[in-house]
Amino acid sequence: MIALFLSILPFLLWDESPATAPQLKKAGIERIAVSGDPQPWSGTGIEAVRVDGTKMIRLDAPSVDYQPGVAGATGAPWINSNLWRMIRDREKEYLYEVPASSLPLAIGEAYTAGARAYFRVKPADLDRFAMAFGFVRGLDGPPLPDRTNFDVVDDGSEDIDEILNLLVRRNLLFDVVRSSRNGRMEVRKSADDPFLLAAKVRSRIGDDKRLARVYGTETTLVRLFGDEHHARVHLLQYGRNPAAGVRARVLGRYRRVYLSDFGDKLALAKDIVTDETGTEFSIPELRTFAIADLEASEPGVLHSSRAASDVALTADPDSTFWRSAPLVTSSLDPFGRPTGSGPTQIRSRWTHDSLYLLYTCPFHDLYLKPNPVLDRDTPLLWDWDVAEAFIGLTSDDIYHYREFEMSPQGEWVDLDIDLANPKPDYGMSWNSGYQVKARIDRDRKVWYGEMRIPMASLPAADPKPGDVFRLGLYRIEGPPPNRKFGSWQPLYRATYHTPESFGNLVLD
Amino acid sequence: MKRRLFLSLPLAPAVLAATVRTQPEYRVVTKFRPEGRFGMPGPYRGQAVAVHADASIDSTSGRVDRRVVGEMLSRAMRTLTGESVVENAWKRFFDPADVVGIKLNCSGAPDVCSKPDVVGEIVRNLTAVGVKPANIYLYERFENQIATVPYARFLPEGVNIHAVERRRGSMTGYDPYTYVEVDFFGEDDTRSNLVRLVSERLTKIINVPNMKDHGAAGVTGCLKNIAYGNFSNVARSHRDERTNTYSFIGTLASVEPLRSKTVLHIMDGLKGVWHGGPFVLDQRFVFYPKQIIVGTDPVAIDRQLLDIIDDKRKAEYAPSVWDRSMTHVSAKPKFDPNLNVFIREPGHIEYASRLGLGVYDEHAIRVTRLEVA
Repeated sequence: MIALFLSILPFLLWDESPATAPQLKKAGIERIAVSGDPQPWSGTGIEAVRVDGTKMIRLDAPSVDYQPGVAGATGAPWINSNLWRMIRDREKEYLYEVPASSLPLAIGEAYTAGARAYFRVKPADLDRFAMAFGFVRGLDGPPLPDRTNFDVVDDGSEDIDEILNLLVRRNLLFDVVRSSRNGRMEVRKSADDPFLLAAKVRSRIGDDKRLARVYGTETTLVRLFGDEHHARVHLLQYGRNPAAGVRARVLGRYRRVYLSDFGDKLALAKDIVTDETGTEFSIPELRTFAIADLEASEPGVLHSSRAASDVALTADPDSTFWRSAPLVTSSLDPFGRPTGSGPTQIRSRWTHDSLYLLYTCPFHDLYLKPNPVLDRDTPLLWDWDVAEAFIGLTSDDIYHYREFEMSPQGEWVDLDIDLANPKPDYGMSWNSGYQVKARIDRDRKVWYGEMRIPMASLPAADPKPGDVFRLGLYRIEGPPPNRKFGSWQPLYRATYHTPESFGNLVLD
Repeated sequence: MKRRLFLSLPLAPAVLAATVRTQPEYRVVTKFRPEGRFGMPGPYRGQAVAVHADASIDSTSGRVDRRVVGEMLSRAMRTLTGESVVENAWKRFFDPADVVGIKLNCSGAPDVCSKPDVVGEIVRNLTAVGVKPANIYLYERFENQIATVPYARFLPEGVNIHAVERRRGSMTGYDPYTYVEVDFFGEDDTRSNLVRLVSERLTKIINVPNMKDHGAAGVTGCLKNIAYGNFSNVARSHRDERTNTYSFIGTLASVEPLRSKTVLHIMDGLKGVWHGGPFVLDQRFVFYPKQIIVGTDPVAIDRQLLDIIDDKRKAEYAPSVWDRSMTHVSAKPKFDPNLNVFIREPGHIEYASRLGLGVYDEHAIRVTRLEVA
């Protein structure tokens, strides 16, 4: 678990007593809204804030009506979406009181709109809410700007309602503004039928200039955020059945696509392609709500220089063995923001039998496990200060990789991770036979950690120059509640187990 | 009045109208290039072999005589290729290394479809020339249609039966890199993607359409089956009384690698539909041509189909497939053979000829007609 950024997350509006606090905590809910006095919740571990539900705008359950012809010019089903309403006025507060089955899509809708939305949920539906809430919380990073093709000038009239409604349904991406902005295409109240107006808007933009599009579905709405370096696509599937093989196209050239699909822990974007102007990918099965992060940078590369023979571990970057080794630095968190610590350096070397990694880890405060055990795996080592390497075995099966961790005290744990076929105890019964050496320089506030990983454990029976391993490099530092999480490559989600994000380790 | 002249009367204005009509703007996206010597119209351009056998199917029970079907197919293949031995005829098209797709037509299934007896004979001939059963794929777009026909009973073990959309609307069976992009009526999904099996697995395709009227296309034969049957999201080409089958069918059929891989057309005309197609809305609209037409030129074969369906419709006092009168258009035709949902576009066949898919001019087509007792 890494730090969360509670910015525009949906709120649980909870009418039950503080006695339910343990139930909430178990569901991963730490903040709630209440209609009454929040004081009784103090000391329960749940942060409660008072709201007035009667002043909120009540929203219907998102859904779709399969009525041919209702949606006018296209014959597409009629999507009952609240997106336009919330996008129009993000300052207002909205209230969902919807059946449990609608909760995931409603939460996705509210999170996509970026509006403050409250969900009045029955105790029996809490787990359902918590699942969807946990999904968006795990993806919630710094707010990203909307990416839109044009502005809708909102004159406050009801006529704009239906225009916004149609534009959302047509996946035409707009900002709502009160007055004109220079250089932007704009849409105002029109005497045209909204269907006709939407068609005109689409024609004026030109399909090839639309920032985001979806194919293979008539029941999916899309919104786009971010910039040319990192784009985030929200896809909301309103149909009653999952949409299989939905294809998304985003204007801009992005090298990597990380997909999170609610209800599918192994969601992996397929058939990723970048052409002259855009990036496309397919979603195997879009059930309700998915978020795809598109990263423009090439995967990072850590070169590993060859050594003639194995050496004793020193954990000393100034040693003969390590002095000239190539290195990479890592100073950002999973969302690409500075961690606030000095940059972590990671060097690598290799021999026929071993892969070496050396971490140089500046720190503010060490957070060490008491009574360290050094002769066996330390379970849950990641709850303390650690440096980590995830090494992928093949590009054909990116779900399968090996995880190596070590602490400043020399504790270690190695895991055989297979996301598609999770092993008991996170694969901890597997042992690579790797060795570690740790060293803390308290005066300079740096700790060093060196790993020697048997090539045979990767497995790489006959490594040779030019071989490439998939690689993730991470670090966790400091005591809670201000733990710092570092990642060599951007992840845009609250889990390191995002193998799409891995860089490459190249044997030189 | 001779039949040739009789047919030409409505044809001329239809073609003229089609010529001046503005067609949608198509963008074909494919990495494939024409390959091999078999691609449509293939080595027997402007030719077709039509074999009739009264005993091929019992028009009372619908029972097919497989022995007769086998003989019809054998005669047709030998005549088409000029080979005296049937195995040699098939060897002209297929070798043991091929992965062969058999594009079925199951939209009228189980009543009128690519008959399992016919398909079984095709498979038998393929295996006879060394194609492995595991490298033969019967395929159709929709699971719920193909599942109604007991093909497996007519096949050797190991032959694959493949539905592209196991659940309606699923896109996973389509190739995201090969598609035709076009906006017909303002629909947002403007792509029609090629069946992934075609682009990624098959080396050759045998097209097995039926003889059917088609409410949108006029008739559905080789071109319609190979085009609309191999791409996603094609129903969007029809709206209200209008349909874009006129140009969309030929455009789709021309997309590589579909065009190059489709090497043989075996039109199963044992049992057909003269109205309400491609479905079987009413048994009154079913008829028994009792023939199989074989060739490599889909236009030449479909040109024969036009006559067959139109002649039958005339015999039933139904409007010609060339009729464009709005008085015969109704959103709810209610089994009335005088009414149709769309204005039919039989000109799609002539349009396809202009794309180089085959010969449309009846005078330039050589049809060999055979009779099997």
